[in-house]
Amino acid sequence: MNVVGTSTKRIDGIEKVTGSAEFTTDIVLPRMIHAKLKRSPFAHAKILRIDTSKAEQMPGVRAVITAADLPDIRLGILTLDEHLLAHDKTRLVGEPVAAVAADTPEIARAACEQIEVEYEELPPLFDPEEAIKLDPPVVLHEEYEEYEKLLELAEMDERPPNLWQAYRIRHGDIDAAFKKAEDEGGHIIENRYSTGYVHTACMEPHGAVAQWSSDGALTLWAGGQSPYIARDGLSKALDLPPSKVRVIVPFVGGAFGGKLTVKEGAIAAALARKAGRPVKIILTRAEDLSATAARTPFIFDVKDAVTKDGILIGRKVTSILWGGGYSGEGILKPIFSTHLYPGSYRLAALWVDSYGVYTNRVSGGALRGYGCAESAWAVETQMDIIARMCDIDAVQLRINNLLNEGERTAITMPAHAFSAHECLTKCADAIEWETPSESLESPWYRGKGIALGNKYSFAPTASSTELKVHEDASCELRTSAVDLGQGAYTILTQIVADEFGIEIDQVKLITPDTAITPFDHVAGSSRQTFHTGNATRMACDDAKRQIREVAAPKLEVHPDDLDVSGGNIFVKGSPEKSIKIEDLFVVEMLAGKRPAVDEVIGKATWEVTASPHDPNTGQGEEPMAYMGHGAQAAEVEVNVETGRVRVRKFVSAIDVGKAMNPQGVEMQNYGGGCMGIGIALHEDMCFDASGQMTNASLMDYKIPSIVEMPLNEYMESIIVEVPHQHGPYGAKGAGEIVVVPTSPAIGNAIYDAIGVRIWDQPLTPEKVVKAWKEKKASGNGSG
Amino acid sequence: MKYPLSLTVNDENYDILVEPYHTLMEAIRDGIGLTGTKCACEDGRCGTCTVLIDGQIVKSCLMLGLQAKGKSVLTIEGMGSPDALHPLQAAFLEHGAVQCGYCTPGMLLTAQQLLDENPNPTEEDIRSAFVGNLCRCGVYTHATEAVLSVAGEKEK
Amino acid sequence: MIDCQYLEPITVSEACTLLAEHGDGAKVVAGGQSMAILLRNGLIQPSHLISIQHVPGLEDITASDGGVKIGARVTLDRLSGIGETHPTLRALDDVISEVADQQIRNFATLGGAICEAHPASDINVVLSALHATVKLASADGERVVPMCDFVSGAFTTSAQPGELLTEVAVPSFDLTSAAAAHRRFVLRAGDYPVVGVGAFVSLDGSGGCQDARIVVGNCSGAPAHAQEAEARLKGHSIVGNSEVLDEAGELAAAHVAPSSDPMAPSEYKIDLVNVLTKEALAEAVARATG
Repeated sequence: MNVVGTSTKRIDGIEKVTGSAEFTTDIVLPRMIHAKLKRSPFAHAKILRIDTSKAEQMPGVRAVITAADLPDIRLGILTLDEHLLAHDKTRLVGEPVAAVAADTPEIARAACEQIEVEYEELPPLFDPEEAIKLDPPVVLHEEYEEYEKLLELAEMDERPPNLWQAYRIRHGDIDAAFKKAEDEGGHIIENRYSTGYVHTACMEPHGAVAQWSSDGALTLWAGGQSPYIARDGLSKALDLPPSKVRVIVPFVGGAFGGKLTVKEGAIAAALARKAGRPVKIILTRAEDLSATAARTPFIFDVKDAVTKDGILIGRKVTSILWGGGYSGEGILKPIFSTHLYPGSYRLAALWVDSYGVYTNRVSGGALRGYGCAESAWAVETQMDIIARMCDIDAVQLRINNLLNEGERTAITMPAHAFSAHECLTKCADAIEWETPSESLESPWYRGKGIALGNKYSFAPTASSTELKVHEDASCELRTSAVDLGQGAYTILTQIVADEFGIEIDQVKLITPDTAITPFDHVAGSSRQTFHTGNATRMACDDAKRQIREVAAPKLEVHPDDLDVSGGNIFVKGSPEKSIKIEDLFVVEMLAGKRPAVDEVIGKATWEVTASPHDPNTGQGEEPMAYMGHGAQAAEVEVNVETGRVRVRKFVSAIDVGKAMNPQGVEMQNYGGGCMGIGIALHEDMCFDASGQMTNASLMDYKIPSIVEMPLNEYMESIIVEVPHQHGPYGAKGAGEIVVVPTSPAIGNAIYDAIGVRIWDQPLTPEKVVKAWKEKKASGNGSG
Repeated sequence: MKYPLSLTVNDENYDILVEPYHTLMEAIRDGIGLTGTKCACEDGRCGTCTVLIDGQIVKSCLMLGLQAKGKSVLTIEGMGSPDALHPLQAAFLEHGAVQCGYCTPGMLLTAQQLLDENPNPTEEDIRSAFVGNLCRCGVYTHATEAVLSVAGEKEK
Repeated sequence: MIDCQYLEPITVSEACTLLAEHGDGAKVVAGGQSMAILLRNGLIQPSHLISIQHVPGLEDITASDGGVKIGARVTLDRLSGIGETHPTLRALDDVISEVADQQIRNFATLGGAICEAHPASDINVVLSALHATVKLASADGERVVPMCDFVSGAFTTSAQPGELLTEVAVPSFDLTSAAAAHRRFVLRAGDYPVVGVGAFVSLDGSGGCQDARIVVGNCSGAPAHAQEAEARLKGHSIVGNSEVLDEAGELAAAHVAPSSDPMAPSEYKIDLVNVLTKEALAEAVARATG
């Protein structure tokens, strides 16, 4: 039997296609009431007074809370800078200042309107380049120095008061590299790139259901990415011992990085405690889009030194992450985004200054590709420009600059399972890179573009699993890994089936519930297959060891001479000498004797202990669990009159080490491509002058519809399998790399079609028209 | 004030009380307790609340509950059962058109009306049909494959 | 919470009586496709919802020498392909199957779509270009209002309290020498357009333009005639004369003053008015001569 590596149907599929899969939004508890949040209308304001008395007196209102009802504790991922409900100040439009629980959502909403909040408006700060000044017009966090911080910033003579992250890379002699390029007829290429505001826009909005038991313990149902991060957050926010908090993860309607924490869940919990009733909170779509963490913009200034033959010899990058009111889940982005500056390329000199700043906009969060998708936009556009400048084919130029297996990158990461070359060439073949696009009738133009990408998986990190073997030889995997749609439950089931030589339907998964399932860090950073997969194999091994030890005396051999498969324990090389797993449990029990074994539960923890790099040099030991590789190519059609960009053809070639479920990889390739196309061309959170988001609906925030995707015959998924030494069966994650090269591939294709660069994402029609007009005005408009 | 609403859902009769401003989606989810019909956008764009009324797809958040008086509604729960999946349900699973699953019920019901009215749709027909069903996981390519496969089967 | 009554009249006159009786607090529900959202999100809080679901006689499509009459409760889905049976409505075919999506078209009514008065409504643009009129019934009788006067601004119509839109009439024209077309630009399928343009031309025997109507959507509260562009065409030869169509496009663009919205900045909408006007005119001319 070999289930791993086959396209097993997803194990949660029947529930999902029949409508019985229960999501957080579907949960109903007896006596449950509904919460709504009162949010700040101002981007920056002092809270002078909150009067909840009118709301409290409304019929049907069961509880109203403000910051005064909560422990005075600041929360955060690594810089603890945010209260659950605004304390003395609000720092973004939509920051929650109070919350109501009432019999119906309508009553709760009406009661929120009755809460009076007196604000003193403060000048808002939106521009990140103003924010980063040593003497900025506005300081968001006057008490920053007093905050608890779990992260060391790069040393600075003086910290700009709105700065919350600073990271440097100093590798090689950057000045010498630029001098060499200048002296020896090479090129110095300097450009500014920026990315837009992007939201995860999961189909299921953020939400939670909270219930307290009479002994003061909290149970929270929330469709998040990590029950343990949620439990930790709840325990801190509500000042509860972790053992008093239980988090259960129902089905999750998409996450993509946006559901790492459960802030609304903690508010629901506080309301539930006060009301003495279970409380459900489901954010409206407008709240979800405008007030939950977003992929906030980066500004990249990139300066490359290249020899005349197109060899990259030095790169200097200064970047600013346009953070929001709080550092949030975006805290590590200024660091992790730098992993892509060398990416897959050899770089003798790399100089990076990377910053994150507070502004009065939505807080920075995670979104598929965490930093890499953003820096790829700059770096892989830059590679296309270099290729054209050196008159070298863009694929060949990249190949000429690739690392070799085993070589250390400029961030001291050894290149391992290095598949960039294979991804790139397979991708180029599929898009028929050598054949130029057909010419179309004006105003339409066609062109092709390609880009490489990488996605690290962070470390240190750990995953634990437990594997119980039942009397009927079926297996039960207890895991806190979360299936967000990416297929984690199916892959873990496949692993157990393979390890025990049993059918898929003999494996039962106990899904995340901190009262039952052991620690798993998070369903994020493309880590479930790699880490939880390893832990699952190890737990299977542990369970099999226990079984062998019990069975060995019965078969009169050493445990090491036994194998477990298909419900049997047999002597290696003599499969006729065997007993059934069920016999260990049942037979003697029925005979009134103590069975050979009461319970078989394998346990394992898989851990990767990497150490963070020196924030002043970006150098150190291996900083991540693994580095993934992928390439994507697009052929686009551009209408220069309307600016319409249609992606005609799309190819995604990613290295997954080992395709645990090839169809699952294909789903990531196509699904990631879809999100990547949306991010590249359509999606853009817009804000008015007061900091209010102006397109906070799925009508106005344009995630792609089916029509924006290429026709099926022009979608191609390529699976590359270069096994990783530490991956289970050699496997690496696939969930994020699939959106990393998409934007530069499309941007490069637009250039190929009409000869214009658009430097800031998204590449909307109006920017295409504007760039085309500028090109014509400058006399290069022949097309 | 609440009004009585009698309607048929998945061939069963229901008599519930709804406010005039309650949508059909709320009547189905909260009034009847069938939660396979989802709510995601609140402005009628996403299609996760799609159900069939007398064979026609509708976004149940865009219709008042009382407008469905006396009508026959089909929700995802009535489309097929785990033991007897509708061919489209089976095809969605087979072809990988399910990821997080939140948009799945709506997409399936949209596909059902399409095939009921047009047993041999082209890819363009399928794309037109799915315009009103957004999916953030991006199952579009596989959903198209799934619908084409069922159409192909029917032809045989 | 809002206390709201749901009334289901069974004749037009009963509906009008109820509307008059309840004044501003009363809202008509036809397909519900725009009303339900407003209600659910608490954006309107009517005292009475008047459902016209059971009012007979609002679902007919009839043709006569004078033109085509369409009942207010005809769904958008029923209008798809209408140009095949009623060729003067061919310009509606340009757009109707792209308005929103199948779910919405199944239940959205023509009357509801018009009365929503969305500034980007393609239907209102086309009907204005076709010189359509709407019939408003009230307790006092009936009146007929041209589309361009009926939709008076963004989400606003000139209907008086107590009036019910019962019918839309599109006047006939000579198909051998006149035609209309519609062009739009959407950022994503299924959405409202960034800009939509409807064009109608009628030709004399020698390819000259007798009449031209160019209506631009989403550049002001209500669909607006591009009068300067229309004037540029009238009396001039427009068959096989792409220069004059280009000029009309530029004139139309020069005389709109759209506000920026989350979909697009003002300048870009102006660019689109230019392009789409040319395209819609060229298609209308092609049809009129075809």
